[in-house]
Amino acid sequence: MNSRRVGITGLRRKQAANDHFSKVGSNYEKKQIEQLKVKLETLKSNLEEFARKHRKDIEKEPKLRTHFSKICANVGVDPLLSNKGFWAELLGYGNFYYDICVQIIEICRSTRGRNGGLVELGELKRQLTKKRSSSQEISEDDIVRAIKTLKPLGNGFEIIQIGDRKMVRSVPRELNSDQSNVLVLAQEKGYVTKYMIESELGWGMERINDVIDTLLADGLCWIDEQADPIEYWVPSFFKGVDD
Amino acid sequence: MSQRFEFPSIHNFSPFYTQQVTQTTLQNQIVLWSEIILSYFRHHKLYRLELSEALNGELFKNQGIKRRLKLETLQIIIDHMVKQGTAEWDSPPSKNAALIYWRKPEEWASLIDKWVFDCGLNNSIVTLYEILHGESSEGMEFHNLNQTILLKALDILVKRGVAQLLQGSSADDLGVKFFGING
Repeated sequence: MNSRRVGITGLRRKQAANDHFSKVGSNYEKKQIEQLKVKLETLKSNLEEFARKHRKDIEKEPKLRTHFSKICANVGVDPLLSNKGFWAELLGYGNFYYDICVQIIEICRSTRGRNGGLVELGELKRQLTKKRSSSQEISEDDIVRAIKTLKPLGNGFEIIQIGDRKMVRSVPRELNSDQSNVLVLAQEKGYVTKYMIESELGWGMERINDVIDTLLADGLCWIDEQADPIEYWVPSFFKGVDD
Repeated sequence: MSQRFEFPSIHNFSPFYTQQVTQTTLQNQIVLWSEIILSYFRHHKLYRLELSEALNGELFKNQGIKRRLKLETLQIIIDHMVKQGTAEWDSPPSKNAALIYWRKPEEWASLIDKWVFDCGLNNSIVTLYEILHGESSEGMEFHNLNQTILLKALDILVKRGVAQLLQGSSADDLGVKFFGING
């Protein structure tokens, strides 16, 4: 009996201690959160002040824009997603990327029949610059950022790496590895022949025919029958093809 | 001749001269070709396309990359333009020549109608020769227009009830009477 009573008291005492600890703990947590909140507020207001002061520079300088966006992202403020509200108003940011997004969609859509929905990032930048005709310089980073905001729309906009080139894909279709390998091979001359694939990649003719057929069907390659042997050109690698 | 025509980059893209095997790509190729044809014709103020002859010209034969469009492909392109109303086979069913409408006959008709009004030619008779090559039409876009296209344009004005064709002794003598504003 005795031991049992002790047990209960012990438990009660333990419970009380626990309560106490968790109280202290949550107080401490609260304090920390409080402090962090203050710090974040300070940082936010500093960023705001910075943005207000250097708005023109941020708009003009792609590099500065990149850094600034990174800091914002780290603090959990996304100047791109907040279309309305303080950040967008302050920076005109929402509009800036919104415009780029719309223009990217326009360019990709109007050139899709030609390039099968695959545009090189540098080429896209060139076209955007031409289309915008404003003095505001845009960087590839801006384009990447804009395309990321398009992703939730689920219309297949994505940046993929093919060999040493970054390509923007605007159709919801995955490239299989055979297709990618052939595209990498085509980067050098802008085209491939079946013999080039055979000697470079060591594939059999059946596999080669398969991959060429799918590349043609997807509009990623154009056939040149006046070449001997027949050449398969990748319009996305042809400079100025979309002009 | 007038200034050199600036071809778009795709004119140097070798496969552009091969009829594409994929339907969507082919559709796009056809659209691109018709755009080039229209702006080339507009640039040089040309109206009639002799297919076999043109296939040896700079429009369809690219010396730089040694590529040339095939007759069947060009016919498919023109067929598409006919559907779009930007071309018409000259004497169908043969597909040897086509009229290229970088302006449609309706547009030519309106231009002529306006010119008649501006020059105060209402209620007078004008010969086709005067419209095409006369002093008063100098500087007008339809100056030196193809005669077949001019007749199509005049035909539209006749149907609108603002003009009447008068037979002369020869084709060049053919006259048009434009009615008055209230006539």
